[in-house]
Amino acid sequence: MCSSHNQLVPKVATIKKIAEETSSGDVKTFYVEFDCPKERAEFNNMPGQCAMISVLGVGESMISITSSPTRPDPLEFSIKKMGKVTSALHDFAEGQKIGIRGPYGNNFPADEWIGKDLVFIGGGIGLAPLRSVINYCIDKKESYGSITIIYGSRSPSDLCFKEEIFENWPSVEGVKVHLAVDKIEEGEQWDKSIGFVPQYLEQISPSPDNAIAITCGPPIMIKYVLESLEKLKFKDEQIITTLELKMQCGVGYCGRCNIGDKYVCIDGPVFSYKQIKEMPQEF
Amino acid sequence: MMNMTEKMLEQIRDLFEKKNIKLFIGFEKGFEKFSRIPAFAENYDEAKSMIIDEFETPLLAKYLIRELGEVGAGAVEKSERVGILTRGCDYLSIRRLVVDNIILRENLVIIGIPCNGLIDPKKANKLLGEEAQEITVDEKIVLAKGEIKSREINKEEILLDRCKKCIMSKVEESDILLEENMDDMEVSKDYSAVEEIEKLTTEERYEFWRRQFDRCIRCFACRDACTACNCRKCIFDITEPEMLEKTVATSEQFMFHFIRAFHVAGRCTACGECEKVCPVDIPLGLLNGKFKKDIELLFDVDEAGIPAEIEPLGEFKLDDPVEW
Amino acid sequence: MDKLLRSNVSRLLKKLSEHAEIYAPTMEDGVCVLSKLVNNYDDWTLDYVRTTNSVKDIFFPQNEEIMRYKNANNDLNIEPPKPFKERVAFGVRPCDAAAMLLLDNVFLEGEFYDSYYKERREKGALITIACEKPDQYCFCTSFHSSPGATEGSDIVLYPADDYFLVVAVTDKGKKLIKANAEIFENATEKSGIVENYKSMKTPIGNNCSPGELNEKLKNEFDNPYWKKIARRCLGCGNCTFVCPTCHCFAVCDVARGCDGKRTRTWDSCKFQDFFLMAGDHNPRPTQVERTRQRFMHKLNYFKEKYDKYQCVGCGRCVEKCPVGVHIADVITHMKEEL
Repeated sequence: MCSSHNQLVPKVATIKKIAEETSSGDVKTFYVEFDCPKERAEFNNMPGQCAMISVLGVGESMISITSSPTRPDPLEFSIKKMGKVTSALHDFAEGQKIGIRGPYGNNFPADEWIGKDLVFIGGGIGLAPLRSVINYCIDKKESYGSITIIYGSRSPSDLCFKEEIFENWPSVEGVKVHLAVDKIEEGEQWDKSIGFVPQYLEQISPSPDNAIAITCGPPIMIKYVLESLEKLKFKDEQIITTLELKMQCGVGYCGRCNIGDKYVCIDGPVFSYKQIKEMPQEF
Repeated sequence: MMNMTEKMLEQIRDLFEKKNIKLFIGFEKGFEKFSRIPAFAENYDEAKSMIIDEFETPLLAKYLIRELGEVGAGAVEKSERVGILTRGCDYLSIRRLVVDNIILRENLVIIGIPCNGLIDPKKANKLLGEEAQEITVDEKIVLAKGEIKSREINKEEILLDRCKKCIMSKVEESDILLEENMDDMEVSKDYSAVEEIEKLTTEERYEFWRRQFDRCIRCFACRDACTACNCRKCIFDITEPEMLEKTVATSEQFMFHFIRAFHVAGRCTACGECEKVCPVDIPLGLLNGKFKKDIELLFDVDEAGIPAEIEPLGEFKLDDPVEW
Repeated sequence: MDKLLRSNVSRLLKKLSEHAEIYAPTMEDGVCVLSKLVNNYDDWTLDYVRTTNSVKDIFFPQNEEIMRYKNANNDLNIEPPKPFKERVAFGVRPCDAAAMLLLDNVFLEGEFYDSYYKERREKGALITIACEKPDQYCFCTSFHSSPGATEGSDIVLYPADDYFLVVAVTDKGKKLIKANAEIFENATEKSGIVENYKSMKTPIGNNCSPGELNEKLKNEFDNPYWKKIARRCLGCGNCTFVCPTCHCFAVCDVARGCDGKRTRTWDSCKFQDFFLMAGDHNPRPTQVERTRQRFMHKLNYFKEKYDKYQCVGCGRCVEKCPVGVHIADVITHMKEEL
């Protein structure tokens, strides 16, 4: 079955590899390949877009695609154990089959940022959607100005994508990575900053001139990051973030993820702060 | 002489003035001519639109859970009190909540009113053959006037279904009684409908209920309107593990309605609200009536469903003749 | 113009059943439901104002299988459902037919279309019967419709003495009549019957026509009125399930060993778990937000998106609400207040 155009029927895919991101094991990255090459070819994802991942018999969950289309295969999904579906997925082993449909939603407007400085601000698993666009921009680095990545988590072991944040990204010219953790336990090794992401952002104080700030993380972090960015004189349209609400169809019918007349699944998940301010504050 | 509405308003004013209550729950006119809907007043001015008459009303007791917070949930022990307009059926429902330790009696000010059964305007319209523009009630005779016709109807004929099965027409322990019952409504036990179903064979009975339940759209109105359904977290709202599949299949319909019937067995006050709110007219009263009838027979009680400290299915005996 | 004798309706339904599933209003334990006829083509009734369930059931059923899967030995096979049969809905009311056009907006417009709904719609025909006697809950005229409106129908039947005047609205309707020409007769008499139905007023009338209310509601997100009506709401899903335009659903997996199916089932914004996310965040935690969501969706969000109000004035929700939460009341209140 390689040809269904039915939006609600997922395509079969195989988990090629599973990597633990955090030492507590609550975040894993799944490397996934479609079983049918034609279906892969039709899956034209852009950075920031999501896909519905099916654990057959359990359900579906909307997950952001963390790999960049500039590095197409395998598709990567970094998933935190939260609800029914993600918990079931965490019990999966390499080689097992899942269902995928998508890609859904809008994407980060990276092509509108050409020539600008980019400031990425992430917290915890919130780096997963940012990672796709960070790698996208790094792969097209000549089109962009400086790239600043500010990333924090609760503790050093909760930082995701360690190879990239410690090694790959800092080694690219014009890319700066600033890391912070909320606190460290006794005996933990940590030579970077300690503190919360919003304060750390103010400390680093990136310039708003010809810049775009993109943030993603826990809702409470986003709230304070937005305040900090305002303090740093970023304008609303210079700030980009993502929203997340409960979704079951992903294509704008099931009626769960609306904020006003916008549906997060098709009109989002990427919104500018300007757009968010114009919405009813109900998310 | 003051009418009942005026008497009520006077009492409400008094209660608010003396700061005896923070909220009064009663009825006001709804959008349609004869619809009476729940109304909430936080001061006397808001209560002025409230009304007492003889048209169909919903039960009010269930709102007390939300307005007072549950005792066990730690929200209560509030000194604030809620006033509530109460007929016999509502009174039983309130007792249900008190006996179940959901709310505290001292948080309530009960304004009791007599009741000789409420009128179902839909039935009046049907008998009249058009939409009634005016309905006047004079003891047992109702005069319904439409644009073209007018007709005298026996009140008995257009009584609300649930009032025909009323088991409590007065409010036994009201704080304020607006009027005594003139003559108590006749409360007679009538299990004829239940007995009709009992006569059917098992297969016929199954077929009957399957047909009824297959109509169910699982809107949960029966549960949401029921005062005996007062679990803090309803088993059907628990998503993990999912006790009831959202998928509406016959097996799931039976599961839902049977579990609910078993859960309210012996606690159902026979108010008939579940049947009344059902959008697809499932005769839930039959199901609950069967339980009520059996409990009365098996446990030798007069009237199952009258909330009491000790209830047939609410206690156990060490010398129970049947093994667990 | 054609006419169809009432005594010929059963014959027509039987003939149509040769190629299609037939749905018609039937009495079931005193309740009028739009149900599938199987060999009982005489069972249709005219004794209803509105059927308990709406025509939505036939094109977007409460439950449907999205797909089946088999996952034996890690060989996952996913199969969409088999093709649907042709279907004819007979005895639909004009309000319900109009509601189908709103569902078309949701399921057929935009980047994605819904395969299940689309197939059923393409294989479906609506034969509407104009309303002889709207009741006190009817307010289709508030939404630019009428007891004799044709929007959304393929054929409209206008009741006269012992026959219906037949108006074919769409090509599909015309073909249906042509293919069954022997059952229809020529209507020679000239009369204003159709016009009478079209100009008929519903009891609630058009005073609760929302007009430009959507514009005004944009700023009324925090209006205390939402709190007032939500206080009354019991939180059941009655209003949304009987509504011919509500389309929210849940997707559920049912597993039996290695096999299983995925279904979708109507769901309601009135339920407390509807918006609940993994991690227990709920953007609409109380009945206040959920009540506002329902009315804002119908009177503002939908209008912003599709330039139509998401209500056809069929009166089901207002008839069925146990505590008198009334959309016409909301409209009139808001119009007066704003």
